[in-house]
Amino acid sequence: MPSEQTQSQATPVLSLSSVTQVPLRFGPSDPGIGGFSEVALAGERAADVYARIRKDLLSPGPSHLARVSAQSRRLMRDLGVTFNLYRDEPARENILPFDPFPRVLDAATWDLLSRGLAQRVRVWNEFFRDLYDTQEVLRNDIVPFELVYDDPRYQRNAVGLKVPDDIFVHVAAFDLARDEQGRWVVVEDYVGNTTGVTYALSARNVLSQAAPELLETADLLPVHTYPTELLEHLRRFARGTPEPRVVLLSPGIFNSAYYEHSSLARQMGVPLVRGSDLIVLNSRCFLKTIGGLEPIDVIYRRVDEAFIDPVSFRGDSQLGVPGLMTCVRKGTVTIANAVGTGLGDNRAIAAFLPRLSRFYTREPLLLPTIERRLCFDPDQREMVLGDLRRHVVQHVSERTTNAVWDAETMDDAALDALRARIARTPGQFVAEPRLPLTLLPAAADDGLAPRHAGLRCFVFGGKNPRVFPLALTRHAPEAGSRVISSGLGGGIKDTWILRGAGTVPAPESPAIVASPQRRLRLGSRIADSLFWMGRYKTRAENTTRILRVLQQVQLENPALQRAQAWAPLWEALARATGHGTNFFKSAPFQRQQDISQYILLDRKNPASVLNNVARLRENARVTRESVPPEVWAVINHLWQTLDTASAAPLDDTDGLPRIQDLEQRILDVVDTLSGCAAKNMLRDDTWHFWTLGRHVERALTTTLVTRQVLLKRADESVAAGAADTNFDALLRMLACQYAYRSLFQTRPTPKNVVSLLLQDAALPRSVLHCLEAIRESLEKVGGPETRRRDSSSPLRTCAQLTSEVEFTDLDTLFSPTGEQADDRAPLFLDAWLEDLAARLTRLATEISDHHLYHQAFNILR
Amino acid sequence: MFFHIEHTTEYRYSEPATESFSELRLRPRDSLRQKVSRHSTRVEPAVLVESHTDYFGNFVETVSIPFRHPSLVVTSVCDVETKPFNDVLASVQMSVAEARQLHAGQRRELHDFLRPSQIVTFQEGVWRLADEFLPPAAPFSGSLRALNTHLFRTLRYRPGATDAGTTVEQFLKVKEGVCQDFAHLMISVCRAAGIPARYVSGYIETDPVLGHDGEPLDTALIGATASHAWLEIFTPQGLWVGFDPTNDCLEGERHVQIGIGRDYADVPPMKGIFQGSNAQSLSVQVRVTRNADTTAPSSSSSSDADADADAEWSP
Repeated sequence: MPSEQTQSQATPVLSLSSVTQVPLRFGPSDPGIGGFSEVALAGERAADVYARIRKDLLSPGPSHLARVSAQSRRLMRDLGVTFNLYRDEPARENILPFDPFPRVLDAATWDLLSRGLAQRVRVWNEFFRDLYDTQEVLRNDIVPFELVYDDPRYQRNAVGLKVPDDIFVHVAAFDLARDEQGRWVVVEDYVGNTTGVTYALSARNVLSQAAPELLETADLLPVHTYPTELLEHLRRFARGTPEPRVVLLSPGIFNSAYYEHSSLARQMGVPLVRGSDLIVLNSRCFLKTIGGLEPIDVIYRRVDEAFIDPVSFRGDSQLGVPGLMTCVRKGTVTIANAVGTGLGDNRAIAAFLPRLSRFYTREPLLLPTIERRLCFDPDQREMVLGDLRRHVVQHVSERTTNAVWDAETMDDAALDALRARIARTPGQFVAEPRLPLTLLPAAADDGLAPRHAGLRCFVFGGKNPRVFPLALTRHAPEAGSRVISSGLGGGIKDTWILRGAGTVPAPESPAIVASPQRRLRLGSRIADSLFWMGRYKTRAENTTRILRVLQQVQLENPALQRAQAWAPLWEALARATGHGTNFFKSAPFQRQQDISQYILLDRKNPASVLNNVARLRENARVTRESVPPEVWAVINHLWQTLDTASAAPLDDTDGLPRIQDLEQRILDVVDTLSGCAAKNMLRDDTWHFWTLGRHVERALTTTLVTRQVLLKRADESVAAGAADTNFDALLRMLACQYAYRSLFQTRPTPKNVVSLLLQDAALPRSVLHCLEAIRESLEKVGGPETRRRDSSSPLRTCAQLTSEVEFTDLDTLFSPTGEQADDRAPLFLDAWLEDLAARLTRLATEISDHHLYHQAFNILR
Repeated sequence: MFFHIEHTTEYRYSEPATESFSELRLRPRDSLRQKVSRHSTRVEPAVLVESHTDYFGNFVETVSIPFRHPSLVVTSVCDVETKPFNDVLASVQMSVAEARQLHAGQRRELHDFLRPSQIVTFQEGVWRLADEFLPPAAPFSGSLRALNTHLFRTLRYRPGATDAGTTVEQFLKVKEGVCQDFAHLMISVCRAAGIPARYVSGYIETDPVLGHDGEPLDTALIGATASHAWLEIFTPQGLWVGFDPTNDCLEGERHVQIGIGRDYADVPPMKGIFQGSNAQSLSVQVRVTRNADTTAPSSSSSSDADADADAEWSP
């Protein structure tokens, strides 16, 4: 079948009479669109494939394409393929648009690109090897030294450092386009930090589900092995260990590429870490896990190198791993890509690649760079300034979308301002002709329509760089637009690399990971967050319940309006929320509503329910991979409840009903949360830390509140009726009234109340029950080795506390002299409860130190 | 001259830090004009101290403390001999423009010391001083001396007026600061005029208090801080010569260099990071004692400036 005919049948929108090397115009209806048709430029084999794709997508009926498009969108959403839009509010996640019409690259094209890009990575690597050593390249004036020395990404603290196998660029990516002659040119080099690979993987995944018939007959190079091959690739650069451990270092959830970090880490089977998850000890880098410190051999960094070590790099950043550079210096850890490669973001240096290639390899560069003018060169600057409208000006190394100025779209004033900026700091700018993007068919409202598209390819660096047969095609969202950046609303499509009849070397033996990375224990940061989620959830719940009971008992006993009568209860609330016991006596609260507002909704009160829930949610957010989505949804709902309520302060007009309604809703959602967590969370380490947090907090509240209510100073006369009411209220505050009544058929007496709240293991809120739950979780978390005699082990502390609480004879505390028990809590009991509270607090610290913060006394032995 | 220097830095945290990491630049450098015969760094709590040499040739030690500690105390002790040196400036009989011409061949090596940096910035006030004191036709040596004196006379030394992050621009506005600010400003002016200049961190022996008979009354006082900063200019002979605008003098035998860099941020005596505590208090004690040796007469001195966190030596 003659290819020309195929094309014209296949893509009437893109039809061409002469096939190649002629800039396309799409007729009067599309005056703005110019550029080459990729389909028209395709070789015979690719053209056949394009024709078939077109047929498969359109021929079953015009609605088929729409169906596939809709299905793709759903899949993208379900997969959570997100990207943050720069112009959008921070950290809002957007679903990336997906277009089902794939790009096709035939074997010959791929072969050309592969050889060119592999060479490019070799040249870049040679440049870094030399630059961070003797700098022959600068001594010989191949690259002007000012370009390097004035770039903040030139890392002076990396000069002279040896990296394994002299490899600096472990992973690279390149953006490609085609120039006016149809030649491939590189428009961007990413040799420091690369993004996009998971989007390429998702594109294949989505297309294969949305239009499986398309892929059935296609003879494509497989892409799904990328994550495992990347892991194997990185492990090769570890030094001195047969079982290297790799982590992916991410800046965290606020980074625009966080989706990529988390999904890549998951697919590679390596921990996704942030700087604070790692610690340096004796020039070795460790990951903090709940099981102890795991030595780390390779850090695949997805953060800018200036943020990997806050001490070694200049600047105010607190991010990173303090001291990591000492490990790099000693060669105990490999950073990929090596520190210093960020300089590769400098577009002016990239413009010197042809010279660098000749200097290092005596070979001409196979793939040219886009024609780029460097404004620091007076002649080139003059050319740019003289004809600014024809250029796209870019910052020399910023890769954000607001560091690009398309002169064609700017008004005269903006243009003058840009001209002045270039004149002032010419070294900061480069200029290029408008990006020569090619056109590809994309699904539009009425069939297929041309959209500008760019190509990104991914390379594994090394002695012999390998271009992985995976590429990302990004396309503009609208006709005529040349904006393909995902950050500005561009979409993605699948990229097919055809298996060649011998033109492309067969892929290396299929990636079989000989020894998959041993599963590391739960990271300490995640465990810490779960621990605190448990604590904040319990705090929010306790605070609400205590406040509600206080309000209720006051309403129920209008006779006892003397503030003094309720003092112990208010003091209990103050203790439970971390205030001084006199807080409510001295605080300037005029009305009931003010107190409720303060306790429940005040953003300035760090112990308010609202703030507890905010922190609960924040902790859940940073551990979202470890929290079931159902649980996250309830936490989110709880936050919404409080956030919405806080919009209107609690005041007179609402009165008590609104407060009570809010309290009830909070308690209901908290109960839902408990149930939802119990039903959905795996009973693994995540569950145990959530449990530990809840029970530590609950035991503490029970102890503090009990003590405060029991504690009555001798000089304060409290009516007997009030005392009874207080005990009654205490039981209600701790939700134990029902339990008390079923066990004791008497009015609450101090001893009964204390024995129930502290020593009754059957009562979920008793201190003993909590301690037993803590002990059980600690045993599960720690494994057999925690049973060893270890004075600092929280398990040991917990066991001691448990037996003490269980076996303390309350009689001796209530009547130390053996005489008839006094109804007033004696000093002995008070002292004992105070000590108990202090020891529970210490237990919480020990749990943190032992499993989470990794104090050296745990590791050095 | 022979000096015995003891430099103690103590961080006290509001509550124990769970971990901390610090980088120290405390060991005086070896050069033609000074020799370190002994140096030791003691850290409390006791941990392993690692060392390396940085980009500018400074000796760096790193301290990692991965366990709870209420405070961190670093004591650096060293013995240094400084040698007298000739006034190389006296022999430079040329204009600023000629001097600039002479280092053209070393533009690459000197580049870092000709460009603005994080703290050393070029702005109007700097350009004005450069135009006034270092125009192309001005005599190289005399103009630099005049600039040194001018800064000493027009700017006030006042500890606490500025901090480690104060830029040249801010210093020009408030017109008072410490030795780092004096050094940074003069560096800016020199670089703006095309004369390579670099930052020097070090110690200075302050004047001893003398009795009626001319003999020193006091020995060194603990609690004094004698950390100092000044700058070096690259001369046409290819030598670096120290200027001390805080004292209106050239670097002499009583200056001891620790390290050099583009500005303070390249050679802070100590920088680090800690976790688990919100606040810290810092106290620094430096004692510089002149030792008796076989030839030199014995005397000792130190300053008694306040032990404020960022305080530097006061003239």
